[in-house]
Amino acid sequence: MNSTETADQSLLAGLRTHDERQIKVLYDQFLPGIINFVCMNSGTESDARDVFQEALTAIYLKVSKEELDLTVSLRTYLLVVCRNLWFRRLRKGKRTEHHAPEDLGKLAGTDHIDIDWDRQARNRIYFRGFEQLGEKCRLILSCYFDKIPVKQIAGQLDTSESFIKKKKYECKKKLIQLIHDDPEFREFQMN
Amino acid sequence: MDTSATYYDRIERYLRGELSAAEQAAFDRQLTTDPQFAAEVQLHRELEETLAGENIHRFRESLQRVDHHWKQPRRKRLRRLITPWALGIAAGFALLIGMFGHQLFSPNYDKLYTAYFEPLPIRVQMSTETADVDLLVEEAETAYSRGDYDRAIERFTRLIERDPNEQRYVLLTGISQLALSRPKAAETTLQPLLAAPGETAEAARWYLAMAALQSENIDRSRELLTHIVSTEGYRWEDASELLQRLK
Repeated sequence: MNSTETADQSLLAGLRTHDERQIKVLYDQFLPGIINFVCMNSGTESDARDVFQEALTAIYLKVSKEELDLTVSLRTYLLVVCRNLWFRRLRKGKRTEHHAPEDLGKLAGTDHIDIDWDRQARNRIYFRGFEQLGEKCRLILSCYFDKIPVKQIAGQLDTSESFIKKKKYECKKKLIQLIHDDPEFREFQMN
Repeated sequence: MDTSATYYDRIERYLRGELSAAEQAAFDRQLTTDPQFAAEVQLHRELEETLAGENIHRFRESLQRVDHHWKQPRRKRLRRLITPWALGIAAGFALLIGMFGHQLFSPNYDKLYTAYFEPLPIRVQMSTETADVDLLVEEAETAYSRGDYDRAIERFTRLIERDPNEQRYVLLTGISQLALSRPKAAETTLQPLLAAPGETAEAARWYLAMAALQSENIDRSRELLTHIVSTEGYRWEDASELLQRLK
């Protein structure tokens, strides 16, 4: 394993354990390049940060399920993921006349990048809705989705099972409403 | 759209494999005949898959905290130019300035160059080409992105030989030369791009200003930066800031 691979594995380990120092190293090393790229392609620094967070979330999900087989440098991988995410947003928003090829990974020599881009875009909407919910709703839903028994959730929150069931339903209904109201989700439904 | 508790409960029991055989058969029938229902079931399934567990949410909280506090490193490098120790010896400098005159006011151009120069991230190749050109593009871009600029220049030069009108590779060659501290070569490469259309010329102008700064041709650098600011060209905010520092 060469020094780049060692450094990449260390950063991925930091990502897996939510080590904020390592996440900051990822930001320091890679985000400036992504900002430049997005700004050169009709975007802003804020767009670039958003895309970068989405890419890191996608990588985190892969790393935590041990599904990430990194055969190129992390820099290249991140760059290709961010490019793909950005060009897809541009195409959806029609903010430019640029038309990126569908298979950006192939052009960058990383055509094996295994990400379901549509699903990734829907995940973004799901997180956006979820993060608008109150703290208690987020906790109940994340436990429920994780298949933790209602009885155990009730015990954790020192309340009754019937209250958790009722609250879970209300929270999920609210979440689904937020998602249906999301303009980006509506675009998905129209396509 | 049905949002009743009974409706949600039915979908959840389906996702957890808790329906009876008769309920399951009815559910499957509805899935195949009612696209809106199928889409709702997919939404419920994906929410469970994506949002399950606390770890992903803790991770996103960490990400947002880092993002909130993160600033572009370039600005940090600039701040390092005025660290406390530097302020501590300011009095000493004041004495030297008094003794040796205005020449000590000259900015440290090398540090300014280091603070502002960063290679342009390579852009996606958008044309359709033959397979061997794609391979060459891949090699050139890989070398460039890894900072292997000698190799990148050699590969870009071959690409330019194949297609002299490909200004993007000329730009990347100039930037690679700049990264190798060859400002004169970079100027020669980049200068013709000022006549190119659109953003290629804008980017070339910024890197020409960098080349002039690296070779301490400050008047030329100011001239290019002034143009960038007046036209709100590529990196005009940085150009404006740098212009102030060069005055």
